[in-house]
Amino acid sequence: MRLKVHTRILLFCVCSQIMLVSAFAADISRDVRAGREDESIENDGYLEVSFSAILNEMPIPGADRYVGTIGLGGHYRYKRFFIDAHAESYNQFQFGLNAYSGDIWSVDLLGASSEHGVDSELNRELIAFTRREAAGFLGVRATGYNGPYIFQFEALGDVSDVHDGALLTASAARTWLYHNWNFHALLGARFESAKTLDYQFGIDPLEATAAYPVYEADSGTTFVTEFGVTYPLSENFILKSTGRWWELPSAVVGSPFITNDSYLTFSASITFVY
Amino acid sequence: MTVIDLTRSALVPFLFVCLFVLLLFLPAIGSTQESAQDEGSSALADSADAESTAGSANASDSSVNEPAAASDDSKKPVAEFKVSPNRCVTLRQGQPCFVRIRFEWQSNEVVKACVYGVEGKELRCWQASSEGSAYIAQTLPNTTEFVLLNDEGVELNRASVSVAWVYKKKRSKRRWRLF
Repeated sequence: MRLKVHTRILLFCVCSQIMLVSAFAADISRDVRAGREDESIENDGYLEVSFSAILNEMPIPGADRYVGTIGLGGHYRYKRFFIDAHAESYNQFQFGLNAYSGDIWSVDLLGASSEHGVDSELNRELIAFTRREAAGFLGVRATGYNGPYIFQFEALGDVSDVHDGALLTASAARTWLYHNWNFHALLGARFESAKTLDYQFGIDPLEATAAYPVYEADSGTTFVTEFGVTYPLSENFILKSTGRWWELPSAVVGSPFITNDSYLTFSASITFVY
Repeated sequence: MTVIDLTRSALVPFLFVCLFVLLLFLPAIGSTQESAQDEGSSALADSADAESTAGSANASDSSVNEPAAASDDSKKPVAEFKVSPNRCVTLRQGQPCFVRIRFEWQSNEVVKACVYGVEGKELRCWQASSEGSAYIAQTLPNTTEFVLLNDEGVELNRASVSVAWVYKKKRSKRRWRLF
């Protein structure tokens, strides 16, 4: 079935809102698998449907340890404009303009929707504390490609008046190819301002209870280590597996919601790419 | 975010079992046996060539499991030559594709024959035989034709293995640009 361009874009935008919140490393997690974003075909894109099994050692009371999910995402590029929604991305939904594309560096003007913190789906007791809106960020992203190495830096600020916070990220990844098995390793750091973290993990006096007292979060940096593997089963199906280890900043660990200073996630998925 | 929570259903253990079974059979799945993808269709590309996200370096694959058609009557193939699988899939366009290929040939005559592959490299030879088979691992940079020659360098037949990918790409011009 062939759809008109505007219908495809609309369908993609709708589908991209339905996302699995996984975790980090911005779109470098996409680039280690799908390749350079600035080398995507113009006026083209793809949809992805992922069936995932996830092990979550989340430091949140009552969080489910094993989760099965179905996620939708994809990518579309119109000239230099792009829309991205990937299960591995920390920012659930991204759009932007590829302003510069060089041999090594690529610079994007980036807009992103990012919702993090405690999710009431993880713990029903926290429903009262988890009415957090997704913030709309705007900023720049620079990505460097040097052989098997990828470096990425982001500087974003909340322009949606959700928390007026800032977000800075720096990450580096390396890829290996062995017999069609694509391996990658990634190290990343994510600095969030006090306004950002306090909105996600703070508890104001109106919300506070005996179990969850008042807490004001400061700024902090999260560190993540990631290992992953991707294998093409066919032209439309890929097998993915990702393990991530998170080191949380003291500003997050101090929150009454959080019970540990680090945690592990492991996911395995089969993704249909169309 | 919309997430279908399958935690408490039997589907999660079933997913684990499915993934485990797939991992056991991955070497067979990774190199597909047949061309299952219609390369002419695409839900997203609105271009005349209708190129799909999953692409191939050879849009008009020959039937690689049958003797290649001769360009004229004087060059009719004198041997049947089969390669299996006839397709190899990589994750990204431009990546080399690893595949273990089974070569089989059969002739009505006793011949000395050799199979040549990437960059004309000799892969395997048979001495004075009317048939032969070999199982050889290959890393293909792109769609590759394998040629069966006799000891006089006369082509007996040829067959190709096409390389396909999940994510395609193009190399754009490197510069500042807004549109």
